[in-house]
Amino acid sequence: MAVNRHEVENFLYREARLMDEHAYDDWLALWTDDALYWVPSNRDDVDPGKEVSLIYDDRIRLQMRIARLKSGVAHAQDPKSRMRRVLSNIEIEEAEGGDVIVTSNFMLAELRRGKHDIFAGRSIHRLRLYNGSFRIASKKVLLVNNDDYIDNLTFLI
Amino acid sequence: MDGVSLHRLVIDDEARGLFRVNRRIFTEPEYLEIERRRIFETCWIYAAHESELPRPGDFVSRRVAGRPVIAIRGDDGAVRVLLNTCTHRGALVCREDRGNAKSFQCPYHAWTFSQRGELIGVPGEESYSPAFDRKELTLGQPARVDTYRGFIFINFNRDAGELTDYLAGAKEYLDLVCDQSETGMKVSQGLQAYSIRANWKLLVENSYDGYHAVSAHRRYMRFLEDTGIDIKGSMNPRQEVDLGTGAGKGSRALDLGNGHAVIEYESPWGRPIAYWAPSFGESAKGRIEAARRRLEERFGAERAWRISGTSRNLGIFPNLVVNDIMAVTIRTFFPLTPDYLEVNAWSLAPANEHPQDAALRHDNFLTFLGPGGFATPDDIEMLETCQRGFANHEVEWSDISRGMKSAHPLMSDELQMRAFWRRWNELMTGSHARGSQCAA
Ligand code: FES
Ligand SMILES: [Fe+2]
Repeated sequence: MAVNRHEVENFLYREARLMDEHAYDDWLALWTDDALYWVPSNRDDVDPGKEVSLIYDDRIRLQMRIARLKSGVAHAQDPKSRMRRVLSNIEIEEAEGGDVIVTSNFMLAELRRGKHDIFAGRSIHRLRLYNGSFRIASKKVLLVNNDDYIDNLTFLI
Repeated sequence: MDGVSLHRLVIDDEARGLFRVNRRIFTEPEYLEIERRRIFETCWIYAAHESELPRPGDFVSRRVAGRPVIAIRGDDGAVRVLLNTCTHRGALVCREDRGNAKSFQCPYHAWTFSQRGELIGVPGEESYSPAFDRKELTLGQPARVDTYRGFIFINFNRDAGELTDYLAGAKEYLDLVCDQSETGMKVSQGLQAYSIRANWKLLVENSYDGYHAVSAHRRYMRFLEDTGIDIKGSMNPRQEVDLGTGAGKGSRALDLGNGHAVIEYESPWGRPIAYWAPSFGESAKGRIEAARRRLEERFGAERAWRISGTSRNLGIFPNLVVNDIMAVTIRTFFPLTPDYLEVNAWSLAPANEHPQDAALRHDNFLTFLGPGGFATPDDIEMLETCQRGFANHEVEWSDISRGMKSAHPLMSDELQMRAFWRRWNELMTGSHARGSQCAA
């Protein structure tokens, strides 16, 4: 089956919009049950079992993350970050089992309590078709500044 | 002196049980200048852990108390700390965070230094006069370097006392952490680095603040409660309990001398070291209970209980925090300005830990800690809002009086912070705050 580039792009754009707009439940619904959401610390290629990461969520911790953000007492997102991000440089590769590996660059502007930050990086999505639409089986985010002192990372990246 | 008032920065009114800290010391740059000289250049400062340097030639290079330094294990097995600035004209001689090196060659004009800092190579040395002496151009070193149970400390004051005297009562608590393992404790590769727009002393207070956990981390505590843990009963105990026996839920706060302090409490949660809890799953039970028996053989039942069944948040003056909770965190930090600090945090674990225990520990570390964790960001937010609030300089004092008249200070009291502040005040002003009174 040939991957439809247009569909992949639409999926990523929608995910980006849901993250920008703090649409927590809709974003969580994009993930598979065996989801893995990973933001390495220090370098792009760390051993996540041995080295600390910034985020390394399985489905359960991902649900906890969303429950926390929705709880009304996630102080670090009260007030919420205002965000817009653009995606580009999308490369698509078919993987075994019918999965699709999509790598893309992002540039994210975040404003919170008067501080304007730029986050940039490369995301690697593993997408899986589920009932005719994509789900995210895994997502690894390689932050440009993962080796620097990082501010709040409690918004969705 | 120094053109800034050192008068009445801390009010320590024991008679009335009131303790106040003047908020100027969080905001005014003059105080940070004095702190640099009187605190960070006179106290023992944590630099690295020996487990980061297992083999000869292994080094880490990082900023410690704001200065770029290299910690390296030499071919003779000794650990040395070198100041990372070329004695020629200043460049960093080492620009890697970690690695293994026989020598360091400065990238600017290629002077080369040995593992001990000796100058061993100067291109075109014949152009220098006979007075040019390589021996005078050895890399700088902190005045003193010493280690305690793997923790490497440096001191910029030649006349400083011995590290073991400096650590005072904190040694016992480092022992409780290190005795967890027969194979030694090892710092995880990799760290979390984050910044906070607040004064560094607010992070000191926060690191062993048992009062804020239930309110500031309410959602995280709910997650723990969902796994069957009694948080309210544990985090706000109203009685001190003999931690040696493990009877009932208890906690205490202790002044360990020299500005060090600890809160120690019966763990409401399991600890992969040797204290099983249902959240760890039945499959881990046998293994973790066997580890507990092994601890009992080594140390007797009472100490084994303390090592495994209690948690502790330890603050070593001025800027080292060792939090031995589910995971063990080593955290150190340094202010760049009065309202900005940078934090480095590592995970410390038994060297040959069972992979499943390592996974439990790791999982907890990542859930709770760091800029993407479920608790640290809320702490950061609280500290940053305190710092913002200080712009109202008419509100002069912060209150640190909690539990001051209590015969049995608890983790939810503020004795640990008062221990820090008393030492801070002594070093800054050369005098005690004790007996100073609140204005009526
Ligand atoms: S500055 Fe290092 S060799 Fe010149
Ligand atoms: Fe906290």
